[in-house]
Formats: sequence, C-alpha cells, structure tokens
Amino acid sequence: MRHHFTARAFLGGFVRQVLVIAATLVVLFPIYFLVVSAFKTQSDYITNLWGLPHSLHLDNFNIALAGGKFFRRFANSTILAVGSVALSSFLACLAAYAFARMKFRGKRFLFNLILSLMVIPPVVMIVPMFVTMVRWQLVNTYQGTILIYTGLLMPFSIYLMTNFFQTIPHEIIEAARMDGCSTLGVFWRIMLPLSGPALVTLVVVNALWVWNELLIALVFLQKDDLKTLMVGISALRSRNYTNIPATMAGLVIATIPIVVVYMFGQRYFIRGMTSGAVK
Amino acid sequence: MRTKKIEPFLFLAPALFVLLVVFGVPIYRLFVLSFQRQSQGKQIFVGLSNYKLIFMDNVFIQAIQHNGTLIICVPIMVVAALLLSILLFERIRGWQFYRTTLFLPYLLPITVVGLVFSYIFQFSGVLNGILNAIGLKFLALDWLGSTHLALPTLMFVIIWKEMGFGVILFLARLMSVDEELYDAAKIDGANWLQLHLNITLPQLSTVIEFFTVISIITMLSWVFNYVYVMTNGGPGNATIVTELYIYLMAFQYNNINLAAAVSVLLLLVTGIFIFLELYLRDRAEVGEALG
Amino acid sequence: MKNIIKLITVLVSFALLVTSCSPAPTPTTAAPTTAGPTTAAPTTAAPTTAAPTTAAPIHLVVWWWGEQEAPGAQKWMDDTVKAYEVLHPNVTIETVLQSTDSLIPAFQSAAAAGSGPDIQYFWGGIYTLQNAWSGAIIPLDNLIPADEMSHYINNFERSYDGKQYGIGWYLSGNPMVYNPKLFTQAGLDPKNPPQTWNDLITACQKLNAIGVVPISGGMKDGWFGGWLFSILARQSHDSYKDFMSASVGNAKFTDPQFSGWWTALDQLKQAKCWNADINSIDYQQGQDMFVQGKSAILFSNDTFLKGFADTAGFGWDSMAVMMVPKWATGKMADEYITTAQGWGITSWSKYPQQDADFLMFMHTPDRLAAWWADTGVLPADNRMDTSLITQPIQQEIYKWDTTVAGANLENFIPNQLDNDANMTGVQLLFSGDKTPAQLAQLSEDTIAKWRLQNPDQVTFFQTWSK
Repeated sequence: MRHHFTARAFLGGFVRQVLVIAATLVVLFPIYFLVVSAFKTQSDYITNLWGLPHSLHLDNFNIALAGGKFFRRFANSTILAVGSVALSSFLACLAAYAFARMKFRGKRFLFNLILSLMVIPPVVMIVPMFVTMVRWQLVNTYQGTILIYTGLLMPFSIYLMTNFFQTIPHEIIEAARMDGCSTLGVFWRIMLPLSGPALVTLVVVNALWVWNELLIALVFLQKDDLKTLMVGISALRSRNYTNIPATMAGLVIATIPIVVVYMFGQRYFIRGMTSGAVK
Repeated sequence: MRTKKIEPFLFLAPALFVLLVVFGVPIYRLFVLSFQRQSQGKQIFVGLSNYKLIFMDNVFIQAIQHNGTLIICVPIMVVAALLLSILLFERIRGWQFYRTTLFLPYLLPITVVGLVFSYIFQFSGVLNGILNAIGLKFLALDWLGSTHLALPTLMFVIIWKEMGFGVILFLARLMSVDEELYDAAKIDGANWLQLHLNITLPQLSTVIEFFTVISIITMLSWVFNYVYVMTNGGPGNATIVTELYIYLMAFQYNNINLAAAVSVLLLLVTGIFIFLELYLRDRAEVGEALG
Repeated sequence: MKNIIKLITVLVSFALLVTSCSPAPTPTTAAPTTAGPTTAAPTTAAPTTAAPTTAAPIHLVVWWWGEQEAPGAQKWMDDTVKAYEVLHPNVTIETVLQSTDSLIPAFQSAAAAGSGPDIQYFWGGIYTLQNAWSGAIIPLDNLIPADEMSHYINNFERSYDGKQYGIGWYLSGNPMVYNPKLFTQAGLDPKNPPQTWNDLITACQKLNAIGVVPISGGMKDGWFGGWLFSILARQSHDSYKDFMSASVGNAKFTDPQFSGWWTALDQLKQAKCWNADINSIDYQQGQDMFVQGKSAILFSNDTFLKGFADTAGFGWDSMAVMMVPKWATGKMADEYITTAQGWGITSWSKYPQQDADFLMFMHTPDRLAAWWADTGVLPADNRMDTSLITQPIQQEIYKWDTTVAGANLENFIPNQLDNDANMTGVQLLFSGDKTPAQLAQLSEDTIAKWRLQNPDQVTFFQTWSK
C-alpha cells in the first residue's frame, strides 16, 4: 500500500481543494456573467440577471460588429502589439544583459533611474509626447505609436530581464568564454536561448498591455482606418450604452482574440515559462 | 581593455535612446511646467508655489491617501498567489485546469473587467440579487455607492485581475526549484509549513521581490483605468487616486501646471524610495562581505 | 528550445525591420500611413482671413463628437461632407469621430502641438471659451456674416469680450419627462403635472404607493450631479451671471440664494423620491429605468426622447414633458435649460474661411431638414422648417427653445466647481455623508481653492461675467 489515508491528510487535502475551488469560482463567475449576458435580449437581461439566457440571442453580436471594421481594427492591434513587443523585448534584452552581467560606473544609479520611470502615469505625458511626435511627423503612423509603446514598456522589460539574467550561473558564461565566445556571442548563444521562460513571460505581459491599451491609441491614431480594436470597442460602449447585452457582446468580441491565442499557445506558454534550464 | 569600457554602453545605447525619446522630452517639460503658471496666454515662472498649492488641496491629499491604501493589496496578492501556486505545484487534483483558469483574469482588458464588475456590484446588481435570493439580505450593501465600501470594492477587483500574474510567475519559478532540496527536507521530517518556509520562500525570493515591486508601482501609478471605468473617483472622491487627480487637473480643469507638479512629485518620491532601497542593499552587501 | 530560438529570430528580424524605419526623420513616402497634410508641418502661421477661392486642393480635418447623444449624426455628417465635396471639387474633408474619453485630451494635445483638426467640436460656454483664452481657437466675426450668425440659437454661450468664438450645431435641453400611464395609475392627473416642490413631493408619495420609483437617476459617473445643479440651483436666481460673479468672489456659495438648492434636493431624497441604487449606477442606467417602466419621472435630455420613443414597448404615448416644478421664484425658474453643442475653428487651420464656409453649409435649409430627419434632435438654427416637427412633445420643446430658453449653468462655472463640488457633493448627499449646509461649504471651499490655483482664469472670468 503506497497510500496512507490518515484523517489529517484527508482533511488537509480537503481544505486545499476547497481553497482552490473557491478561488476558481470567484475568478470564473464574472467571466460567466459576461458571456451569458452577451447572449441575452434586453428584457431577458433585466428580468434574469445571472441565469442562463432563455434563448441564444445573437443580434447583440451583429450590433457589436456593425460597420464590419472589426478585421481592420484587429489587424491594427496586431501590428502594434507585434511591433512594439518585438522591439521592446529585443532592446530590453540587450540593456538587461549589460545591467546583469557587466561592470560599469553608475550601473545601479542608471538601473534605478530607469526603474523609477515606471511611476510616471502615461496620462501626464500625452501632451508633450504628442508635440514631439508632430515634430517628427509620426502622428497617425504605426511607427510613432510603436515607438511610444516601446518606450513605455522598456522599464518593466529591462527590470524583468535583468532580474532573470542575474539568475543565470556565472559558470555557464565562463565556460562559453573559454570556448572563445565574444560578449555578443555569449548574449546570442547562451543568454537568449536560456531565457525562454522569462522571454515568454515578457512577450505575453507586454502584448496584453499593448492589446488592451486605450488612451495612447485614442490620441495618437486619429484616423478611422488606424483605430485599434479596443478603441473601436470603447466607441461602441458610448454608443450602445443603453443596451447592456450589446455592450457585453462587444466586450466578448474584444476579448476573444486574446483568449483564443492563449488557449492555443497555452501549452507552449506554460512549458516556456516552466521549462527553465536554470535553477 | 578599451573596448571593454565602451561595451556596456553599446548594449545600453538603443534602449537608452528610446527611453530618452519617449520620456526625455515629457519629463523635461513637466519639470519646467511645474515651476510655472499660465498668465495672459504665457507661462511665467512662479518658483515652488505650485507645490505649495497641491499640498493645500485636500482632494490631492485624499488621492495620495487612497494610493497608500491600495498598497494593502500587495501583501494580500503576494500571499494568496504564493499559496495558490504552491497548491498547484503540489499537483492538487485538477491542477492543470486551475492553472488555466486562475490566469484568465490577467488576460482581460481592464475596461472589460471594470464594466463587468460595475454591473455585478451595483446596488441592484448581480451580487446583491444572489445575496437576497439566498436569504443574506443584510449583506447586500451598496458596494460602489457608499463612501466606505467603494475603495475596498475597487481593491477587490484589482486583486482579482492582477493576482493571476503572480500565480503564474511563482509557479514557473517553483517548477525550476531543485526537487532534491524538498526530498532532503522531507527525510529530515519537515512538515508542510516548514518545508515551504525553509525552502520555497528563500528559493523564490527574487521573483517575490520582483512581483512586489511591480505591484507597488501598479498601485501607485497604473490604477487609472480601474478607477475611471468603475467609479470615476466617486462617490464623493472616495476613490480618487493620484493619476485621476492629474488627469482632472490637466484635461478638465485646464491646469497643466499643477498636473505637472504632481507628476514631478510622484517621480521624486518613488525615486527616493528606490534609491533608499539601493543604499540599504549596498550596505547589506558590504556588511555581508565584511562578515 | 529550438522553438524559442525560432521565435526570437522572428522577433529580432521584425524588430530590425521596425527600427530601420522608426524614429529619425522618415521620408513621408516610405510609409503609406503617414500623416495627411494637416499634420505634416507644425504650422504657427497666423490665421489669414483671405478666402482661398482658387482651385488649389484643400484638405480639411474635422474632429467631432455627438453620435453618442444624437444617434444618426454619423450618417448626417457623412452625407454633408459628400454634398459639400460635390459643390467644392477642390475640397476634401476628413471627419474623425472622437470617443467621449478622448475628446478633450486629443484636442489639448493638438493645441499644444499646433497641429490637428481645422474644425473642432465643442460643448458650450467654458468648454469652448477656455480654448479661446489659450489661443487655440479664433473669433469668427470676420468669417461668418452677422446676419447669418443671427439665426444661430444660443450663440451667447460662445461670446467673450465682444467676440464670437464658435457657433452652435444642435440643441441639447433638459426637460422633465414623465410617464402619463403611471401617473394615472397612481391617481395623479397627467394633464396637470406637479407645479411646485410640494406637489412634486406629494406625487412621489403617490407613486411610491403603487410600487413605482418616482424619479430615477444615476450618479456613479458623476455627470448627473452637475445637471441637477444646472436644473435646480438656477431657480433662486434671475441671471446665470450671478454664478460667474460668485465664482470670482463677489458672493458666497454659502449665501442662502446659492445654497438653497442643496436643501431642495435633500427634501426629495428625504421624501424617498429617488431610486435606492442611485449612487451605484451610471447616468444612462438611471434614464433606462424610465424606459423600462420602472420609474415615472426623469430629469432628462431632449436629445434622448426620440430614442426613448423608438424603444420596443415604449413610445411617444408613454411620455410627456413638463417644466421643472419650482422650489424658488427667481426668473430663471421659468426658463427651459438648453445648450447648443457646436463648433470652433482652430488657430492653426490654414483655411479658416473655407472652414467657416463648411460650417455655414451645415446651416443651409436642406442640411437642417436632413439633420432633423436623421437624428430627431433640434438643430441650433431658427430657420428650421417647423412643419417637419410632427410630435406634440417635440413641438413643445421647440417652442420652449425659441421662447423661454435659458443658459445651462454648468457651462458658466469653472469645471473644478462642477466636478469637485456639484458632482462630488450630490454623491455625498445621496450616500448620507454630508448635510446641505456642509455641501454649501464644500462649494465655497472649492471655489476659493479654484481662485487660489488659477489666478489667470479668474481674470478671464471677471471679463466674461461683465
């Protein structure tokens, strides 16, 4: 017999299971409410707040998708997310490598300075950033917006990657150097390949942030065919405000792409995050 | 040897360039504006008077108090995320399902989360409907409409959304902890609590520190969207936060100078904290080296 | 691990691609999406009044808002642009519908950069004039003839120091709306709605008796508190200028004439006139309760009425309008609150005369009729063909608009007073945290703070209040 069912172990297991189930219910209920509401008629919503819809009512999605600009906006969001995440991850890795593995004067000072940039709310930088972007003719361009996102993501990204690079043992790097690797070689051949988990985390977190960002997208992309999915959804919110189920349908549509990507990428994502070759 | 000195800066240069472009001009402008005020269509120098004015503004004082209160979310999130990630790590039945679900809130846009919770927490909303239905009418409170409950409700929603990130971060780190450490401790007869206090906590210290720092910064500077969507600072300024104060000053009250002063202050205060931490850590390291 | 390397390679090559065409001076031809001519050059040129009637191509950018409160406006805007472009083949007009959240931040960014729209949408009063004070918009007196201007309703909202800084587009007024069917059920006479404050309180009791919420509202997003200020605080005054005068310090908001409305509102609260969830729902949700038949009376907005009537199960016969019952006897108590949502021309626009011409085109008879047909909202122009208004309710409102219209007070006080005292204060009243006397003190403290923080705006208000 490998199992010893003592009362204490059973109770411990029971308490744990209850804890996790409770947390999961708290997490799932709002999502359940969002999804079922999107399929209700207005009167069904009012009389039957949290139950299942009486019949699947798909009109809400027609209202939410009206105009057919969904795909254009989806593409815009994707371009911005891919562009700024790629750029910020790459630049942050370079910088983090210097912070984590090189010695130079004023290192800690510079690192802390960059870290403290995170506390400036983007709200307050909009006006001066807009002035700069106009001067450089980058308003209403993907490049300008990607540049701003990249800058805003940089402090977090550098912090995360520096933190991770520091956990990579010196021995591995020294061994590579013995084999004749240059600094850049160590970076490419050792640091990046070993950073799978951290990189995956960084990409996911940053992509989510860009995908869901509203204020900068609203102000810096002032042309209808440049608008992002979240901007489209927020406009929908102020238009159909009386129709809560239609708003919910819009929110579901805005969320579906992320959840689908997560579901498909989940195995890879979790494996990436947990496959750390590094202890 | 010469290239060695330049090398770090070659790695840093591209990132610094982008940071300078995006943050440099705005921060410079904010500093200048914080010492000026509007007069007849021009900005004139007024010294520190904007800083005096914001400290005389009780709305601003309320805002920083609320940011301070929000920091209470951080230890709650860290402890809860640690506990959940340990349970998942111990392969509790159905852990793969839970792992997926617990991360879901982190995926959702704040606008979506804020709106959905607004409908749930309104006085005649879903939560109170359920409480009434199961005979707990005395618990059906005005979650968003009362000045005492609005901030705690907001904190619940922030924790709901942000905690999943902690769970995944911690779980990922746990997966890479050397199993032998646990095995050895079990042989020594350590119980569950001792096991995690003595092994898990020290092993996870860097990632816990990372999550804590990021969460504190979130509570100080990245809660605007929650507040804007869920309460707009109300009722009666019960949920106003620094960011919303800045937003109102800059875009509603047309007072960019006070908005700038608050931003500079926020930057300075955080800067001081971060450098204080740096100083203490350096002392600790020196101490270790000597000891 | 191979996957990760592949991923990184893709990311890096994409990053290089982006960096190669990123900051630095980018040739405009390189990117298909670069800005149009308006954002191309940071122009600081002073406005010229010469009309560019040459056939040189002209591109105008219009940033607007309004679809949110007048659904159908988008269609009208598209049609209007098309019609104008047919008449003026050298002109192209680009319209960008702003969201409620971006309307002000986007314009302030544009103003700081001196680059953005040629024509900008503005709410009335302070929302327009603060941009005149900062130099972002120009006076229109030399661009639009005085006799044309005289047809626009509520232009006084946008005039400052003898100059006209904008014009109206459509009207947004605040009637009291009630449900005659519910009135009959409760034993109230729908032909004789409440006239006085006591009538209103009695009506609340009767409506409560049949299980209907007497008056519904939503305070969570704040706006409605400001509306109640506009609707109620006026009644003890003869002129909206009283409030501007008090703002600059010539009277106190704790004086009985200014503080009375808090007590009047508190009386309604004590009499249980309002929905219990008022503090936890948004303005719009409060309005919805009326359409759902849950409430009998609404402090509403006339731009919504057509939408109410179009709702399934509701209709024009489910509502009637009345003037707000009186708690005080100032001249303004007899007015119908209305504001003209409208337009301004930016100081960086290269074609101000062309901008003005397009604005005048919006006021041509054909466009006025189309506006009414598309939105069911009244245009801010007295040349509207009144025979098009077929609903008695809307006829009544148009009559009020053209005979007893009065200022919307929110447009004539500093935003800070509106936000930090009116909106905040009404929430505090309903949450039970503050008494009317304390709230009057809050108003006075807030305006004193505003004067301290904004000496420059105070001088503008002094000139404006004359």
